[in-house]
Amino acid sequence: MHALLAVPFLGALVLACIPSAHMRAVRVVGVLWCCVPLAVAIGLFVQDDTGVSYTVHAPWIAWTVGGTAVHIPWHVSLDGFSMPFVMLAAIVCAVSGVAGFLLTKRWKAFYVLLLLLTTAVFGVFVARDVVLFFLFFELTLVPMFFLIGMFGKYGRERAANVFLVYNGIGSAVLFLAVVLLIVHAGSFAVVGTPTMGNSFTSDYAVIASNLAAMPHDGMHTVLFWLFFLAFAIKLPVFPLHTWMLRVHGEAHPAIVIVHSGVLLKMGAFGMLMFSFVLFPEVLRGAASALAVGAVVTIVVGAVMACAQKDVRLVFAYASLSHMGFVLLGMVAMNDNGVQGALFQLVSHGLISALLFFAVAVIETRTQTSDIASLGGLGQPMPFASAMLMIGALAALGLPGLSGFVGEWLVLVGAYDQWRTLTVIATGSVVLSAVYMLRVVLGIVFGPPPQKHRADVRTIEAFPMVFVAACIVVLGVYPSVLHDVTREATKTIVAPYEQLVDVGGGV
Amino acid sequence: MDFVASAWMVPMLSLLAFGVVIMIGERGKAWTPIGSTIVSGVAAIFACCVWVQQWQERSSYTWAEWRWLTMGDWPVQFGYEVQSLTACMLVIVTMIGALVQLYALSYMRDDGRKTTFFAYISLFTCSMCGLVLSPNLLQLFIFWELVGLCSFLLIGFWFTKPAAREAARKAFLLTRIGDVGLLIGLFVLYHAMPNNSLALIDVHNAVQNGVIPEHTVTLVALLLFFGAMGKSGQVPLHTWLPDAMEGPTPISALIHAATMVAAGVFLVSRTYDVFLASSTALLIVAIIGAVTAVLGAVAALVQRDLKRILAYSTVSQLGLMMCTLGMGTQAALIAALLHLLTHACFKALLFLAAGRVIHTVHQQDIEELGGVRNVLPWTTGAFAIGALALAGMVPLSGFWSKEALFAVLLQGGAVWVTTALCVSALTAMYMTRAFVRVFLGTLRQKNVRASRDIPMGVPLGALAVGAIAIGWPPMFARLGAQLGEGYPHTPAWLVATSLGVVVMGIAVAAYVVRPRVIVASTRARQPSRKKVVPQRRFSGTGARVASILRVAVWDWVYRNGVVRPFQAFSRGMAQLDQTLVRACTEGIGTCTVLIGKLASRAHVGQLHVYGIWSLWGIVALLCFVLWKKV
Repeated sequence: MHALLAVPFLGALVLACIPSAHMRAVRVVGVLWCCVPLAVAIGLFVQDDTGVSYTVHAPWIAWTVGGTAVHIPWHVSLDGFSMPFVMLAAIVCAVSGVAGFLLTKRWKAFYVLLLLLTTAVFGVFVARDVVLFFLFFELTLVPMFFLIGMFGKYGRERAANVFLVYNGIGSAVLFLAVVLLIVHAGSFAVVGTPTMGNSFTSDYAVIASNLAAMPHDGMHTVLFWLFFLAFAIKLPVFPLHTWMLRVHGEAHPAIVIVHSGVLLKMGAFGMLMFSFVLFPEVLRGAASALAVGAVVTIVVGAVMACAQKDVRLVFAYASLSHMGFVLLGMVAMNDNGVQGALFQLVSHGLISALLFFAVAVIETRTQTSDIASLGGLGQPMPFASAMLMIGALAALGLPGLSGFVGEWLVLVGAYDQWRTLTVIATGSVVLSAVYMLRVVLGIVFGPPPQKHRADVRTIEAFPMVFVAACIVVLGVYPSVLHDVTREATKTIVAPYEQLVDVGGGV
Repeated sequence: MDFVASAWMVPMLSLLAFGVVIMIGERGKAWTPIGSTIVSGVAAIFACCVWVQQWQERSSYTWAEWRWLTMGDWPVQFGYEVQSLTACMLVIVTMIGALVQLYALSYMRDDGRKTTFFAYISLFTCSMCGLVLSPNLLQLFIFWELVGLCSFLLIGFWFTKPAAREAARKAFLLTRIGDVGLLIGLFVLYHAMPNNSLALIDVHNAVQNGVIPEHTVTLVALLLFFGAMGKSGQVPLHTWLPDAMEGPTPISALIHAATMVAAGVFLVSRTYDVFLASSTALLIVAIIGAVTAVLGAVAALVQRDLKRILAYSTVSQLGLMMCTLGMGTQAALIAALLHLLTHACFKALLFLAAGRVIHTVHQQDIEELGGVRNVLPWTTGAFAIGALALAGMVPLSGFWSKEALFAVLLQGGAVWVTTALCVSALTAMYMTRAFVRVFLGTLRQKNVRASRDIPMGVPLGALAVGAIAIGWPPMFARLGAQLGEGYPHTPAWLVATSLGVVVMGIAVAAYVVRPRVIVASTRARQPSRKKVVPQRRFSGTGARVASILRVAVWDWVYRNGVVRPFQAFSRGMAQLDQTLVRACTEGIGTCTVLIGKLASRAHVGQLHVYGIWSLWGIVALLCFVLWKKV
């Protein structure tokens, strides 16, 4: 399993040693190396169908200050919960690597940064230690900042700055939360020392069991909201989303693929792992308010997506709306809701990758992503159009493609607790059809353009077909993913459901 | 061979055809359409075998073993279910699908994307068969949406035409609105069902045993009906159906006869237990059906486009079926389904005949048409059969199925049967008008030459035979008996009245709408001048009313009442987001950046230098960490 972390990092080092003058070598090695983690992840996925998880737990850093010992173990684990994310990250990073072919310069920097980013993303998903998680989480910011700033449209540098500032604030909050969490709940008894309170660990499992044993107090509420805020920026939740629009609008599509495909998922992952799972009793009180926030995010995102003129911004607002679904599923905190949220995350990652790849292909040929100046591409570019259409149909939740399963599960789960809110959220499905059809009909349909536009090349077609196939497989037979996450979800949901059962319905 | 147990072959064959044809693409345009047609023919024959076997054995067969998803602790099992209703629908769908493909071999001969067209039709047939065979409401919903997708793709098949694009958008969105209702209905049902099962058989049992509280049943029934309204073009979600005429004509035949619009009626029939348990829902179904039937018929009377006349006629007939279903008896179910069956036959016939006219004359405005009889005598005959069957003339199939409808409606109350009789009169009128305008009189277009066309002729012939023969009384009654108990019997006076109404409708229309004869002038000086014989037309007010009705009141209402306000709202929201929200949240960022700018003096300011430093920093950190670990 450590190969998952080592391979991309090694790749970054190897690429760093190839002189950037050898452009061909850089690109070939870069693309191939981006595909290696995918192979590793697929290998792990195939092996791990019995539900046995890969876990490494070793002492890592420990120090003692004035009688207080702090242990930071190296605890990484690949269980049913992180498996889908790791798979997703591997796929999306490989796709992004191929999309890097469409760049026009600075390939070396792109691939080095992308591989570093991949390492960090894998780290985030497998870390089962609070500090380790935090370190990996921070590590994603740096390559992402440079990627956004170096590649894209004119406003990219400003976008990169806004990205950094926003996420920096998020990280600051997260840091505070992590420290408070360790101090509050990290104490544990080292064998041989009779008293508790002078040894602290950052191990997630220990913290979780400590918290479960503790009575509920104000500190829990504070921690819950701190974590929530930190990850709500990342997810994002309305109204903390403006940085995401800039990134989607300005950065190169190859980078948006990673960003929208994986990085947003880290927000959801963290929110679930830290806010909702660790503090079920706080969640219980806040669930309804959060559900309202989720539905607002869904509806507002969808409404605003309908008015955008730029394809990328339509997709950005669509992402916002879909992340609202994720939040709704997570706060419902029942089997269907959480499963649906996980499914939606994976599905949205794939759909984003497909859509932005199609945008990349179209943009390299037409130099624009403005809907009004595109049109009729179905005739000169039938393949790219078909892929854009599959992505859009999946995004609007067409059954048979992956988007539907996630939405269905989330809504069924949410309907358990909030009838009216769920009905409103379901109504937004019509809006998603409105904005997605607007894009598809505007770009693909209509009178064909005057100028010749070449259809996709093989290297461009391959990742699109692969992702589209994943989307279809997940839509036609969702149990492929669903069975992997089922056991993990049950354990996550159990404490909350117990709480609700004991205390009656909310 | 056990055909019933292998009914899954039917959708699978179509799916296979879809997959192969779309994979091969335009390279195989010489033979893949033919291959696809043959496969659909095989599927149709297979479906007939299933039907015959099911009829003989009177057994239903269910296989639902494929675990699609596990929701909570309850697995959602997919599979297929064959019983009398589904077997019958399967035959209609595959038959019409196969005939339409055969027809399209000729109709779409010169189209650049011919293979795509055939692939889409195969997928359409496959989705509809999947919908029909579903043993489970979730599976039904999935295929339901796929049917919607296929109709979207086919309506917008000529995607370079802006009108086709708008029609496709409208079809997708309006049916989607209905689908959302259906989806919410599924949530409600999922939570109301004792073991969270959405299997149709479980729903049947639960409703029969009264496990579900009554208001929930009503809610579910209404939501299911809302979905059916979208697909089956009930007022006010019907406006997409006439616009769907932008697609190629074979598709209109397929959508209007067998697949898309039949889905709504099928859904209501399949979940009829839920409706039977709620009188409120039944009443609403009946009212909406009746309103749709009348409005559709009136609209059909004033259209100028031949295909739009047929489209509104579909709306109207579907309204009749829904209204009948709203009567809430077993006989109502049978009558509605029989009418669905005969309607599928003669409406497909009418569309294909109309397609033949349009394909030959290249004109579909009935005011510009006339005298097609001289060019296409056989097609004229076929259209006449279809029109008479639609009007409900004895002894064509439409007569028998309408009698059944009238009998049921009479039991329901005088209001319903009167409405239906009015609709019947209107139907006779608009079909007569269309027939007279298109086929009688003088042909205006020059150089119209019709060649013998076997791929177009065979489906027309087959459907004409069907439109005559399906209604053959002994067989028809047995067909009804196969679908369920209680085939309705019509009193003689009602039969006489309905026939009288039809004859009257035809007579009135034939009097008002005269064939347009153009007599070439015999004067030598002006040999080319032609003279239009003056004739009676709608009077001044009538014409004005007609033109108002034609511009589609509903479209206007939607455009100004829903679409425009929403667009304005959406733009406003987006503007607000770009300015206010961004200013508020990014204000913090801007301050930080300003502070950062002061500090940045100390730095080089080149991104790649930063990048390399960061990389080395990471390496150093890692070395430190590893060293620490050792």
